[in-house]
Amino acid sequence: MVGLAATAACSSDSPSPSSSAGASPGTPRKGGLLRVGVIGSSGNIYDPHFTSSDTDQGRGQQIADSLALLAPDLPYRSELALAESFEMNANATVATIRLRSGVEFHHGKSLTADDLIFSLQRILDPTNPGRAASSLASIDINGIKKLDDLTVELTLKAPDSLLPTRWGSSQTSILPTDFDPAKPVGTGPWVMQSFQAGARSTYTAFPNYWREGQPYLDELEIIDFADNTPRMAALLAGQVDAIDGVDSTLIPQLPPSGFTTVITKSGFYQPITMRVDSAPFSDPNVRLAMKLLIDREQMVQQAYSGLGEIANDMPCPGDPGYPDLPQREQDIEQAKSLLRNAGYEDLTVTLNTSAQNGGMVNSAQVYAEQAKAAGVTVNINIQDAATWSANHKEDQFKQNYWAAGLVGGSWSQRWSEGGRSNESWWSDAEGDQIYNQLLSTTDEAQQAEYAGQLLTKLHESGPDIIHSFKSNVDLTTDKVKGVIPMESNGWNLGSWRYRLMWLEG
Amino acid sequence: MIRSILLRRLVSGVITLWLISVVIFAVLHVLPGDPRLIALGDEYTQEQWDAMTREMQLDQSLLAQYASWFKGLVTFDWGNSLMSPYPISELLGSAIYYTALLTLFVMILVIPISTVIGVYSAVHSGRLADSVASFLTLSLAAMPGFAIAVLTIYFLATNVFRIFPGSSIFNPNASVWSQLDLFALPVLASVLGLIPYPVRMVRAAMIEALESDAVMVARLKGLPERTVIFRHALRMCLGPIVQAFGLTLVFLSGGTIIVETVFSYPGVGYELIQGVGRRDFPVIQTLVVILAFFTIVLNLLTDLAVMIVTPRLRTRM
Repeated sequence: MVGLAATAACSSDSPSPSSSAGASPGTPRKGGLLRVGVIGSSGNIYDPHFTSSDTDQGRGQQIADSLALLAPDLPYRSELALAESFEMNANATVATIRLRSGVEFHHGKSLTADDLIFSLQRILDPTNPGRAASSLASIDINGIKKLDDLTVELTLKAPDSLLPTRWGSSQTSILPTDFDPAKPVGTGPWVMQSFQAGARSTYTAFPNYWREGQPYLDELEIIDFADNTPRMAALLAGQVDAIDGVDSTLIPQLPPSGFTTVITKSGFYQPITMRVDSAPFSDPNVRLAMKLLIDREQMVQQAYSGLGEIANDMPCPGDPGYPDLPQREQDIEQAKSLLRNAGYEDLTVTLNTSAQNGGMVNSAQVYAEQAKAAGVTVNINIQDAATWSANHKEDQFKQNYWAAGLVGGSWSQRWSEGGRSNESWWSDAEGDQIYNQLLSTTDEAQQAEYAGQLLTKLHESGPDIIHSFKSNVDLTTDKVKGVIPMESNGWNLGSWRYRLMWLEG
Repeated sequence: MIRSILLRRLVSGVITLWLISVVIFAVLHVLPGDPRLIALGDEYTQEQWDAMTREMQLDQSLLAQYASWFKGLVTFDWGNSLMSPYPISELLGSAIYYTALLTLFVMILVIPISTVIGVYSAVHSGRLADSVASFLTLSLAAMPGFAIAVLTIYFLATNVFRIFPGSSIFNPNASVWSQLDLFALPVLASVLGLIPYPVRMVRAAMIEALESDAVMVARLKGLPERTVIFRHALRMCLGPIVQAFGLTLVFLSGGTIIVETVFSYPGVGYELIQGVGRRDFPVIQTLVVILAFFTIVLNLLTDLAVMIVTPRLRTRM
């Protein structure tokens, strides 16, 4: 049996003086109100199982907890939350979950195995599946067995050794059997007081929260903004205390004092993706040439104002199996000769992009500029977010944005045949086989080796130009402390761990 | 006479509204962007897709979708937003309330300010005060609305002075009247963007009136200049002035989108932008028809008011 060790109530995501930039040393102070400004919309909902936008996910996470949570630092790994243990059998077909005892919901009910079963059935309900249905698809809804009051056994439809890593989001929250979407309660650090779609939601600290001593603040307000400009104005005018996921070009607008910039290095990336099912990108030499066009250092400086790291055409730098391959450098001569030999001298392509994630359009422009040196003309087509997502999968040459993770966690969606987000139309039978082997073993060294093989494939002939990892930027007033940098996924403002934040002075 | 004109305008207004409802429905459904993709994100199962399709009623024919939406529209049963469990009437009711308040405050300022500036410029036509007023109004007219809005934030909320809140984020749990400071910048930015047009109109109408025979007669009678301007000249240009303010109101009711977006002001413009971004068809369609309705009604009321204050037109009827 292989299992995840239970972590103490005060887990390693607590702030400590040794944390990197942005984390604040000092002793948490009790009390106060934190106002966080987010980019929201009136479509927002608060039922944790049905949240889809980042904003909603952040909201859901305040009222409910899941079995595990992603650790903030690298390598990418999960930490147990409501689960005391999460064990898989050796071939990853049966999972045994033991829940933490003495955990209370906001309305006083204690957490039991029935709540876990109820939540799984609610997420996997075929007539109205929750948003996590695709990531928990390996669970057989008819094979959920209650072993005792706190223990549940899951039988899987197919091996899934990554199952313990699939519980980080609010979409996998454990909700009580008497959950009422009109009055949502969970085991989370905050009790929801009010919610107005597109405007704001307010919360008070849950006094019986299972993580001893948290949250530090008494009250929390999450305030929605239509756009970045008013949100920045609200921070500068003192109407909110913190804003997340800020475009790095806004940093120079900050006054010299009073504000703190939290920069988090992570594996967040904005790949330029080529469709491999048609010319010219069906030719691996053309794909390689397109990767050789980039001056990666210049890309980080110009597209991300220097707030990023160069990448090596592989995602998932936090994957324990990330291979140590030589860094790919700009080589215009080789790119030109590859293109010439493939019969695509003076190649002209259209790069489809959208401004919906900061830096996307900038990096497209830098790429187009750099490609000129090899005689490649890149025309940029900037689309509004909805048009972009509608056409995205069909477009031949395009950009997207992805959080970091494990390559095994995204392979089935992004690079396996028929994957929902397989925007490159990539198909690699050998890769899919390696992926299945990865899912079938719980041996960590084996998993890392398989992951390394998948990443190497992507480096050598993959459809994605992954030139850099973009750092995430959060802004707070100097009073806000305890914002942890989330290196493991790059999500904003400590992956919405408001329970760890406090106000100084 | 007025009655028959009114009737004709009402009938054409209703037909226009219906045509707008058809056009906006058609345009939205040929626009790229599937609301299901936006709601579900990148990872979804076939079951989720099917459930979403049923929930959004996208499995029905376009004609059936239009018919059911149109029926709801005219019976004031506007249904739910595609993206959230909230009734559209609730979302829009609050948005219309906020936009109406903004419009009210803006017009309370625009009418006297632009009348005073327009009359003063006309009376001092060609002199320094007139040139300064012309220069300022033309500069404002040349500036895009978002630039005016951003500049007011820069100067009055964040970087230069910190007098007003930079964002109009109303606390829905407290009374609007306890948060009046949140109106300051959206109202100011709207007023600055709107006054050039009525100022120019008032000035032109006033100059024409001052040069008219009636005013000359009044002056020859030896009436004091003040009486000539306010009793005679101003009364003569009431028609054009009312028309200018009517049109200003029409601009304002349709043109709050920029101001509301820049200030995160929770009105109809904000809802419309959010709706378009999410391809929330029923929200966009309903809002567009409501905005068109107000535009048509305002135009009609303006024309009526012009007829009433213009004796020439009144008698001709």
